[in-house]
Amino acid sequence: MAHFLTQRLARALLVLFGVSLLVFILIDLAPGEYFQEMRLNPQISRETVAALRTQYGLDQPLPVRYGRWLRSVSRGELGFSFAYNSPVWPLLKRRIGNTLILTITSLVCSWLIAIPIGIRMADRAGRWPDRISGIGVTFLQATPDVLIALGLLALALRVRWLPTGGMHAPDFSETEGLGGVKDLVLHLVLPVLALTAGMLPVLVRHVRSAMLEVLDAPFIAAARGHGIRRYRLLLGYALPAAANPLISMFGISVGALLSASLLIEVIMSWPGVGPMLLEAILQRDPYIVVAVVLFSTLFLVAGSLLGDVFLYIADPRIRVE
Amino acid sequence: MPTDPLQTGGPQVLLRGVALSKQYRRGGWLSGRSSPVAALHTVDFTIRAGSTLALIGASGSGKSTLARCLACLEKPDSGEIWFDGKDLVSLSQRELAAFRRQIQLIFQEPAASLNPRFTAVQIVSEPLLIAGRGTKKERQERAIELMALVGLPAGLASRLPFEFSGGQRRRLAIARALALEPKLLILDEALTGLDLSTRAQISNLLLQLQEVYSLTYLCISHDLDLVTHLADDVVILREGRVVEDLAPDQSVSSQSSQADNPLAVALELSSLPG
Amino acid sequence: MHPLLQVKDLAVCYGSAARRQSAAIDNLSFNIADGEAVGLLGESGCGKTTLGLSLLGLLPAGARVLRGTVIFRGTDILGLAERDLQKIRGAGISMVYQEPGMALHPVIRVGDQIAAVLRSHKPLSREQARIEARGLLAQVGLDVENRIDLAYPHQLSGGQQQRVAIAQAIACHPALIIADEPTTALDTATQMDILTLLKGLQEKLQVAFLLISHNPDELKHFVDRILVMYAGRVIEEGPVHEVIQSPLHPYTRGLLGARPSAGLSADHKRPLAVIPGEPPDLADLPAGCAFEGRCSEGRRICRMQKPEEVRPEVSRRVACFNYAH
Repeated sequence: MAHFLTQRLARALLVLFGVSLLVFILIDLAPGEYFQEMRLNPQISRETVAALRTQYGLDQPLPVRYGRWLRSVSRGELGFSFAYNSPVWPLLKRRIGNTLILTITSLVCSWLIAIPIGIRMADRAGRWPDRISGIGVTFLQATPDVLIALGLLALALRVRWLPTGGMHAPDFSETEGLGGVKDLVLHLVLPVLALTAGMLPVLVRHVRSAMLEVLDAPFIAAARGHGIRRYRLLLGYALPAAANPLISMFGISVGALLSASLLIEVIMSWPGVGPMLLEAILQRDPYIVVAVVLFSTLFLVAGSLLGDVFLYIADPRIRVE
Repeated sequence: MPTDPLQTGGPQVLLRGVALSKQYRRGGWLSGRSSPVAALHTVDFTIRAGSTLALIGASGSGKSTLARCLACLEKPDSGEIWFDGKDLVSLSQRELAAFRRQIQLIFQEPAASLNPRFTAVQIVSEPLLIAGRGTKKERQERAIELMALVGLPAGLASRLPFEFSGGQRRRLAIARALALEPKLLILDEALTGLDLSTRAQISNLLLQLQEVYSLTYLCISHDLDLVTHLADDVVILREGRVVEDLAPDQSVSSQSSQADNPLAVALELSSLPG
Repeated sequence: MHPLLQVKDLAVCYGSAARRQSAAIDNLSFNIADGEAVGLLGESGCGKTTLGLSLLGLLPAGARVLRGTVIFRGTDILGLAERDLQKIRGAGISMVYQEPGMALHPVIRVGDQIAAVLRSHKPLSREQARIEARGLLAQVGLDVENRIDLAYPHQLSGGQQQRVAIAQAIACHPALIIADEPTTALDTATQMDILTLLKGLQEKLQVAFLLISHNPDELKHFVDRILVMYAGRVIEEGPVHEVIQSPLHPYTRGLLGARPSAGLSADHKRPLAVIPGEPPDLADLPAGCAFEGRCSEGRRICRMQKPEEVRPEVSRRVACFNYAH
């Protein structure tokens, strides 16, 4: 197990390095630069712009910039934001927390809903419950995430039970403890709903097909022949055997969820890294972009690693290899 | 270049294995670590041309490993395999290719070795295609001939493997193995798992083909009755070593119960209940 | 006194009314008494596996019971609801399958699998079930001292896996165990070990057995009475030694004649006597006797009608016109 983990961690580190370098290069290749806007402004002289560029090191070649950035990372700053005139990390710290709250909640909700639905559909495959759920799932899948999010917002406006956007009520600093938690939960409902609605179709389909394949297996028929009851058969026999493909799916779902969350955060004004990333891209604030992408990668890699660990625990056949 | 040291006159030897050894690493459920297992340990044997050598042993005795080495699918760690005057172990891949065609392998479960998407005629003509023999038409005709030889009518030519019964699939595998006119056929449990009547049919077919085409068989089996019926010589393997090397009339005493049978003794079979 | 199992005029087919129906079992009748060991001899495609599944109510979705009754301990189990069937499976009738590796769950430890079967039928706690499972594993000759109950199926050999399957089958003291070719997938030495184990268990636990096999020699050593099945019907029945010594039905005779004689070298490398042709496609059975096309003793009537069963002797049954009066 230890060997297994260290191997995976070493690989993860390599991925992070590679991604950071790639993002650096890509941003460089993209047209435009932070101070470009400034150049268009006739009130600022060219010399000022040049001096600013030198000050922020933008006139250096790529390898030098990358090296400097790496040093900044080791100091815990993650580079410097031109727009906010501050090191990146303090800016991101809060936002990353908010994004994690949203994505982890959505991840858990999606899976917790998808698994029972998928199992039920597989159990009643071909019959009415399966067909109706199937139609519902297809409908959900065909609807773009943006539309779902906007639809939910519109509904919230009408009904007024839930806050429409943002993460806290304006008088947040006064509400503490349980009141603060309740406020957070209320604000979470809409974005989580939007994200879950987007993820559900794919997850449910996978659970259903993994279960169906397992239910066909001879050992399930044999267990039935020994008198194992239906629910025990589904949950205690079929589901563990279907765990393998589903755990792989888990790793993938983490990545998909993160991408979707960035968009939903923007739409619902959730103060996570999404809006900040969008802003930084539009303004050409490169180090924020690199830091956010790196965080996403870290999240993805962690999710995938978690999946691998689950698999190792769940499937003894893998341990032999 | 070393030559076969034992090539003398008399009943012609087709294949001779000398001191073959091979090791694998395997772990048990207790240890959890892998330990080297000697699959074969200095195995010697001789197969005479036109005869049938039976190779018997329990699971794990090394029979399948030996079959794979002889079919040139794996290389033994040490030892020599003398076939047609050459040591197969010492040949390079290219030189080996010419010999591979003369030794063909038939497996126990042909369904696993028959491409499920190929029709029968495609399966049987595939070796000819790989060896680059003849035009497409000629290959197809030859394939149909071979199928007729093994008792499969031409009408079945465009069927897929799943449409055949177990016995018919074995016949198909045999037809394919004969496509390149081999000298030696290795039958790795090829008659196991068949119904009695089907097994009898396939057994008869093999005997007939052996006579007509002067084939040599290496028959791997754990079925004692079949072995006594088919084999001219018998080699018994246990845990990778040869323990007996006999002719069948030596190995069968005329009236005794199974327990006395030297084959049974060597395999440590207990007597049956009742 | 009721027999333990009474199968009467059972007919099972595959396929729906709209598509072509393929008769898997056709007019099958036999009995098994308490504690009796009965063998079913048949080749591929004769319907023997379908019979085993029918007795447990495990027929796949495409199969339908057309007629007949299966009376187990006085109740017709064909009509039972799933809930009642679940009580019988494992505790009244249980099954040992041909491929042990496929009948065991791949990622559950073998001890836990047996414990699960126990807890499905008896009100045991987890710990009690585990202890009893270990006892069962010891009974089938496995090394419990070294905690084989903690092993996963893929870590065990074929013979060991089959022993686990047998432990599962006897766990809840069923009255009848159906063994569907339990040794076909194993090598000779292990075959004998497993059969010896089954025989020992049968005598000790006084359990009835239905051993399905395509090998008459295997049945000879294990059962008292034998049924021979062909194309979905029982075509011969009798005490095992009598049937094997003097088979009545031409098919049985042909089948037994296709074996190489054990121990003698008289017909060494001579062709064996075979039954020509192949078993019929069950979707396309003829109007007359299903064996007629391959039979060397056929008469005109064989092509036109299916033979009824007759009893040439008190303990023997055969379905062949050659014995009809």
